Amino acid sequence: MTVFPFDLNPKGLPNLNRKTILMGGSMRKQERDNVLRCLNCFGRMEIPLKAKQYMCPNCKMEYYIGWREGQAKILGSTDKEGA
Amino acid sequence: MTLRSKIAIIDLTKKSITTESIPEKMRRLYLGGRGIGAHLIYNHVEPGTDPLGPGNALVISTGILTGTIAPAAARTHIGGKSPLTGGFASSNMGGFFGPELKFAGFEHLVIKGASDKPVYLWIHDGEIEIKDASHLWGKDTFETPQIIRDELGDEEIKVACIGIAGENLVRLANFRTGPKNAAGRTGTGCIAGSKKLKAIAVRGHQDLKLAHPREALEYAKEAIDQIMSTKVAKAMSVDGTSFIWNVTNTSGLLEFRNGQINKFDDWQKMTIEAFEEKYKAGMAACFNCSVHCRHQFRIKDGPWAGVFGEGPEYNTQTSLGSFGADNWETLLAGWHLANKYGIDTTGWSNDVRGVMELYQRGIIDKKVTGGLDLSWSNANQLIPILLEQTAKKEGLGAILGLGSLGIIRELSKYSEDVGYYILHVKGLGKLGNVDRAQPSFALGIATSTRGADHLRSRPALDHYHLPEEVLRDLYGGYVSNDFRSYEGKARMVRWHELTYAVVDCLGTCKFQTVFFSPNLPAYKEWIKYLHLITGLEFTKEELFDIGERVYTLERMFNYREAGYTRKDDRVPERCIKEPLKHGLPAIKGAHIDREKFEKLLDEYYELHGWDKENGLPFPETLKRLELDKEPSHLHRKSHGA
Repeated sequence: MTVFPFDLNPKGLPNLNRKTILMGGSMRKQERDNVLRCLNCFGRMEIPLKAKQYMCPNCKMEYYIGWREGQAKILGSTDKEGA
Repeated sequence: MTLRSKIAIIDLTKKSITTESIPEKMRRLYLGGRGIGAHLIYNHVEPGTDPLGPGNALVISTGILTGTIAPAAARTHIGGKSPLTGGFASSNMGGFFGPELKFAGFEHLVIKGASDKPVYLWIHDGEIEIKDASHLWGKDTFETPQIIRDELGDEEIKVACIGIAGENLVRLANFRTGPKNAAGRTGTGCIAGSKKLKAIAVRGHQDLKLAHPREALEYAKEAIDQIMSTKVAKAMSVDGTSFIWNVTNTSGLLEFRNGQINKFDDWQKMTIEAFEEKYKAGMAACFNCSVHCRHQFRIKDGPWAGVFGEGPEYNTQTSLGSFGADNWETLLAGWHLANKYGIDTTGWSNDVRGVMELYQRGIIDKKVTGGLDLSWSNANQLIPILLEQTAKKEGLGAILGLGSLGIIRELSKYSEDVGYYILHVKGLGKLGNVDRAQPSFALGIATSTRGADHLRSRPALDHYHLPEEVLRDLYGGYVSNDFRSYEGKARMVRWHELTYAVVDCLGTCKFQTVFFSPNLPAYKEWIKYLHLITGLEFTKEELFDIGERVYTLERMFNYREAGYTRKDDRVPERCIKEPLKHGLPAIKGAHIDREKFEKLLDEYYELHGWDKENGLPFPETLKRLELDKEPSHLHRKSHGA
C-alpha cells in the first residue's frame, strides 16, 4: 500500500507531515555524510566522525570541520591572510 | 483546471480592468511565469518609454505550477522596464503571495498607466478592485500588510507591497511580501512607486484541480524523497542558504571591501552556528516546501532589541557582510531595515562598497558624504544610517539611491576612475562574491539579461568537480570539470541560463533543482509534474526551446530599450586587471583573461545563434524560436532593413 506523507484537508489540498518529510527518502546514503571534497585539489576526503580538523591527504591543506546533524562541513582553513 | 487562471490588464490611469484567458499557443511558447511575463512586458511596455512614466508596465506573473502540489511551487515573477538599468526588469520572490493569486483566479497582472493618488489592488476570487491607499503611503512593508488585513477583515490575505524607498522612487527599491521575500532586483518597487501603487492584496478560495490527482500526490512523495535525499537539501534545512558561506570564504571566493580582499579571517564570528547561539528563533518555509531553509531571528538586547525577522541568507552575508561588518547584530539589523524600507540589499551593498572605496582612495571626502566617515572600520555603524538615508533620499542616500549608473554619473566629476570602482554590469550591481576565478561565473554575469546577477545562469555545479562524463551527459558536449578552465563553459552557461528560465516559468524554487545538485529535479521531473498537474505534454527539447525563447526575447527587449549589445556583455574591469590576493593556492592569483573571455563570448553567441559582432539574434534564430512575429525593432536596427 502506498503511504502518502500527506493528509488531505477538506479542500483536497495536502497538509504536509513534516516529520515524515524530514526523515528523508530511502535514496539517502549515510556514508556520504562524512565525505567532503578538498576545496584546493578537489580530491575526496573521508573525515573521521566528529573530527574538528582535517588535513587533505593529497595536497596537505588543513581545514576546520563542523558537524551538523551528522553531516560534515568545512568551516575554514587553518591559514590566515585575508580581512 | 490549473490552467484556467487569467491575465488581468489593469490601467491605473483609466481605472479600467480587463481580463483575458491564456491561449494554448502562448502556453506552448512561453509556458507561464517569467516566460509569459516576458511576452507581456515586450508587448505592453511602450517602446522607448520612460521607466518611471505611465508607458511602463509592471507585470506580476505566477508560474504554471505555482500554487500546486509540485515541490516548492511558490514563486512569483515581477518585471517591466527597469528604472535602474534602462533594460529588462526581472525579479523573483517566494512566500505565499503567488499561490494565493492563483487561488484568486489570476496568473498574470499587467499594471499599466499611473494613478494620480496612492492606490492598492484588492484581488479576491476573480474580482479586482482599485482601492485608495492614501492612508498607507509612508507606511513600511511590515505595517502595510497588517493595516490591509485589518481593514478587509481577513488575516489570511497575502500582501505584496513597496516601502518608503519605492514611494520615493529609489532606483533600488523592491516589491516584497511577508517577513523577508522580495523581488529585489532591477527596481521593481520603483516602478510600482512611479504608478503610486502601494500594494496588492490577494485572497482566493478557488481550487486548482489537478489533471491526475492521485498520481500527482504519489509523485509528490517521490519528489520530496528525491529532494530530501540530497546532501544539499539537508544542509539547507539546517543552515539555510548560509551553508554556502563558509565554503566560499575558505576558498577565497568572497569579496570584501569592494573586491580588494577575498577572504575573511575572523570567520568564527560569522558562522551560522554563531548566529544560532544568540539569535535563532526557528525555521520557516515557503508554500509547499519540504526543505524549510528560512531562518527566523530575534534580537534580544542592545539597540535593536525586539527586532524579529526572517533571515539570514547567504545573500545577507555576501551583501551587507561585505563591508567588513563583523557581528551578526549589524547584519540582522541591516537586513531588517532593508526589508522594512523595501531596498535590494544586493545592489545597494554593491554600490555602497564602491562609494566606500572612493572615500578610501580620497576621490570623495566628507563634503560629498554629508560629513560621514566612510572608513571600512565604521561599517557596523554605517549600515543602518546609510539604509535610512537611501530610503528617504537624504544626505548621501540621495546619491546611493540612484543605483550604479546614477552614482557613476553623479560622482564622475571628482575622478574619471569612478566607473572602475562602482562594480556593475548593465547598471546592476553584483553580489559580493568572486566572479574572476571562474570563467563560467564571469560569463554568466556578463551576459545575464538583467545585468550582474548570480541567479540568472550561475552554474554552481562548476565547483563540484563532477566526472566529465556526467557533465557531458548533462550539457550535451565537452565541459571541463575544473572551474578555472574556459573549456566548454559557454555551453555550460547557456544550458543553465535556459534551464533557469524554464524553472522561472514553472514557478518552483531554483534551490530545489539542478541549480545545486545533479540529483535534484530537472527536465525529467518537470515533464512529469506538467503532465500530472496540468495535463500538458512537453518534451525536454520543447522545454529547452521555451527557455531559449524567453532568454532571447529578454535580450531583444534590452536591445530595443537600452541598446545593449556585445559591448555591454562585460565584467567589471577589476575582474580582469586585479588578480585575487588571498585564498587557497587553487584560487590565489586568479583573474579573467581578456582574450580568452572574448573567445568565450564568441562561442556563447554561436551556441545561441546570435551574431558575434553585436550578440543579436540572426533572423533564422528568431524564426526557429517563432519570435519573428514579435513586434520587434531588432531587425531594423541590427540589419539595416
